[in-house]
Amino acid sequence: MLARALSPADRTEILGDLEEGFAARLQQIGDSGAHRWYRRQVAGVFWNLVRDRLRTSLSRRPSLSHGTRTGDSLLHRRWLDIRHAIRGFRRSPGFTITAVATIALGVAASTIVFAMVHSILLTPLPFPDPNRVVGIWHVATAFGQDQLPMSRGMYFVYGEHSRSLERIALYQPFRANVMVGDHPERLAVVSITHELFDILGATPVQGRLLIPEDDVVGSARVALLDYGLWSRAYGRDPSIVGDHIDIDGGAYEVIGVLPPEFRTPSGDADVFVAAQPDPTSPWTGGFNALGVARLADGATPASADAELAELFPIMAERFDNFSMEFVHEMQLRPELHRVMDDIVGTVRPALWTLLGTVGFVLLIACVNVANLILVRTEGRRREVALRRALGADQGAVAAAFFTESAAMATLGTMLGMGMAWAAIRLLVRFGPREIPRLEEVRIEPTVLLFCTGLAVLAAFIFGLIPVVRSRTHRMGDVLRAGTRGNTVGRNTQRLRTALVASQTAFALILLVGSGLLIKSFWQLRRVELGFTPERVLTFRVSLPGSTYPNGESRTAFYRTLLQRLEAIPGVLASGVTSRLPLDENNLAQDPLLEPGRTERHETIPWTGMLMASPDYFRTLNIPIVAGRGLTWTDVETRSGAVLVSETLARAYWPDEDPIGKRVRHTTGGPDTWSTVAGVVGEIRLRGITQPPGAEVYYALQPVDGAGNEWLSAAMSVSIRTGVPPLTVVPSVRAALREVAPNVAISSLQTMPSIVRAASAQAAFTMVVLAMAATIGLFMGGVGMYGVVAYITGQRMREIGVRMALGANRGRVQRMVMRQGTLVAGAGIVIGLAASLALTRLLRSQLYEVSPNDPWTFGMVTALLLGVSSLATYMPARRAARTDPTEALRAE
Amino acid sequence: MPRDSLGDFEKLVLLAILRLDKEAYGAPILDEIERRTGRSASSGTLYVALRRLEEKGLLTSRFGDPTPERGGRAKRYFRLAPKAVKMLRESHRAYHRMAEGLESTLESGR
Repeated sequence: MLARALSPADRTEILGDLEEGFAARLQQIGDSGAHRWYRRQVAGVFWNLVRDRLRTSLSRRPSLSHGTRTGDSLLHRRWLDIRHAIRGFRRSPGFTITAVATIALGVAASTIVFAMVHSILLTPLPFPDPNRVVGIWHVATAFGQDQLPMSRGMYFVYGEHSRSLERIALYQPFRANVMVGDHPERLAVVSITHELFDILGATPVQGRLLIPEDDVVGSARVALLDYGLWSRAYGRDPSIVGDHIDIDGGAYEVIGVLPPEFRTPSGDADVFVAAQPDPTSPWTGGFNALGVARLADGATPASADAELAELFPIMAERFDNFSMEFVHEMQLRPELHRVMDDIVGTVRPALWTLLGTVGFVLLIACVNVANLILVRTEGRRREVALRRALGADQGAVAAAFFTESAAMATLGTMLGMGMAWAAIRLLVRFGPREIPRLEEVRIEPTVLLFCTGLAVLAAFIFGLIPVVRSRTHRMGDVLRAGTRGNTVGRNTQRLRTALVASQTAFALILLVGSGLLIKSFWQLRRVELGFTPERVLTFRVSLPGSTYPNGESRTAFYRTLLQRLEAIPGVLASGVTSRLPLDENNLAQDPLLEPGRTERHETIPWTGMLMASPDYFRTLNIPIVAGRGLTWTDVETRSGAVLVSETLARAYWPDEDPIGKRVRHTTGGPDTWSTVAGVVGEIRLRGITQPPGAEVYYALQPVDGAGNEWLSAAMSVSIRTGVPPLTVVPSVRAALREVAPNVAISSLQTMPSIVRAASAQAAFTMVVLAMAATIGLFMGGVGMYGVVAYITGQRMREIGVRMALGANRGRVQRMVMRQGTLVAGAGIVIGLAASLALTRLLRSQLYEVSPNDPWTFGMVTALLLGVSSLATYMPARRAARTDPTEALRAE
Repeated sequence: MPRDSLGDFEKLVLLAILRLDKEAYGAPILDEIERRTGRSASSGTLYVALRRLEEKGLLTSRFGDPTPERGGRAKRYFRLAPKAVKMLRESHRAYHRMAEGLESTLESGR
């Protein structure tokens, strides 16, 4: 053995001497002693001579001996390490690019999602002491209502008597025609009481806020402007304060401007007006006033709930329409929510899901990079041994490798953060509006800290891998030429195999998750809407009370408008309704009575209350399944004819003909019955995932005294076109201007986009998850390819031998593939087991898809098997193609 | 180029070679050192030292005849170069000047 390491001259000299010495000792100290001496000498020679040989030959390349100069400062050595590392990177660009890109992707994804979670879920709202700001809601269990707002009377009673609530304010958002300059705009207006600014905290940038006097009934009507509106429409002109502004025909004095960061719980608003609630008004019915309050010190939402319920008797005493019987029938009780929950509650589960997902992606990325590093370490064993031989101690070698990995991890992290920053800016500008507080997402210091922590952790772990692995190599083994069957290689092989199996498992989990979401989304899209949204244009109008004080005037307006619209070329039909399907606005609801069911609200469901023009149903292609539709005669004569939904007909008259039955909502007086003239087909009115419900459609002028004429004050106009809908928009605007110049169009959109918006949140989660899964799949595939290729490379000699012994190419190929498939198979099995357990967490996001949907699981497994087959096929083919003699010669 | 300093062991090797004169090759050098100084070094260390010394130009070597005891391999004989003798002499003189008067301390307590 030694002979091979020595030059011929040395061989003669040294071996000769050793023989001589051996012979001499054989005589002196006997057989075993001589052998021992011999062995010791051989080891010593080998050690010293080879070492010295290397030292001399390498001393011509100064870069590799830097670890040995003891005079170097720590920093200098690290700098040299870095330079060496960079040189190393440039020599193997494939490794560097893959590793850095993988880290960057993982970091970018994690940062984006974490920033979202942080800004949306964890950052408190910009109110002072935001945890004490609550929204006032009620629950009426008997009617299955769990989010009723306040009744206006409660503002007074709760305000005066409650000790749990420090301050309470009303706020009522609506849309109104506001004259901006000389043209009307539909703006978001909120009618509030003065306490709102105390509760939400605001200092005006101009003028003043509301004071209690402004809320007194009959005092001068005042308004405040939102900063955005003031900038946009009034050029930040301070003289606006004191001017008057026209809102729905009424004059309001502008008393101040709010700061730019001010927000209400219901989102942005353009104008704020004083509500001036009337404490003596008997109208307390209808829970239609939104309330916001600040909890007093020491109160919790639960304790406030209980205390407010005790105030019900005072309500009953003070207001006629409120009775304790009423409370018991409805099983009414207050239920306060933190305002934060109201705003972000809907996206909370989705965001946490996203975070979990991105965690997996990061894991896959880390595993991939770890794999890459392991390969590299293998290939650099000789370099390590050389360095050690040159006298670099364990610490220096470790430090060098560590620095290299740290440099790589840092580079990847910085790249990733840059990507995240860009992506967040895009997200904020173009992301789905349904995600609350999206505009507030940014990279905060906490997020930066998180990323830095990730980077440090990654650098540490990646840095340690080569250090740990290189320690286990015995230098003697390494320097001895050849890589045949060393245990070192096998251990690493096993580790890498395990890593690839885990990668496969992670990828499977991700794929299953996104597969389920995709299927769910698909179901959503295929949901029977009950109407035809294609080629329908919609917009909303709101008629100011001053110009249109009653039902007749409004009906005349709509009739004229609809005639004008149908005269436009390309328009096939048009109609108006108080609420479109899948509209974001609330649906007006009220208990529906029929003769026989008494006034006492026993198990009487609340049904939807809508108003529609006769041709509305034809416009949206909603079928009339029984009886007849509404006619203009019904409207003009106030015939009291109504249409009901199928669900309602089934609920109220399961075995009878609904046509001719009489009904009324409690808004109407005791004898104001309407008559069912027809039944409309089921539609998705309330939401895309909510089943069709019970609704009643009134004519534009219902029967006298029905009490719901106000429904026609703000309606949605729908137009079915034979041409692309957006092409008729200019004509539509012209038509409206002709009929009523001071009424503005708002919420102009096509029906298909409304439908899309209704499923938007599901779509967003799905897209992101699918992207993550794709990345995970890709990385898993690359990782698997790498491992199989490497293992195959290791087994080159074995393959060569086999082929020389007669194995044909097909067998070799199958052998390699079998190994790769085994690894993949193991990963798939583990992944399947984990998925079965984990997908339960997605249940809230799925629509009509079981978390263990067999179809999805099957498809994903097939996909992964396909990818892994491909990943193993390529190295297998190469192995089969090798020339046996080449393989045998390879080391 | 700075003056090469001789290591401790290297000096011993040179002295041994000086002593052995015509029979100065691997095995006897090692034996001589061990016998005279009690220091048992390994062959490896010896060969490295011999190489270094030769590189520094302090030794010359030549191959002798092969012998059967060595499995048919030749011996490599070493000789001191003139430079080496000069260095040894200087070193010796320096040592003695330094050690002058300290003999009693240096030689006691063996």
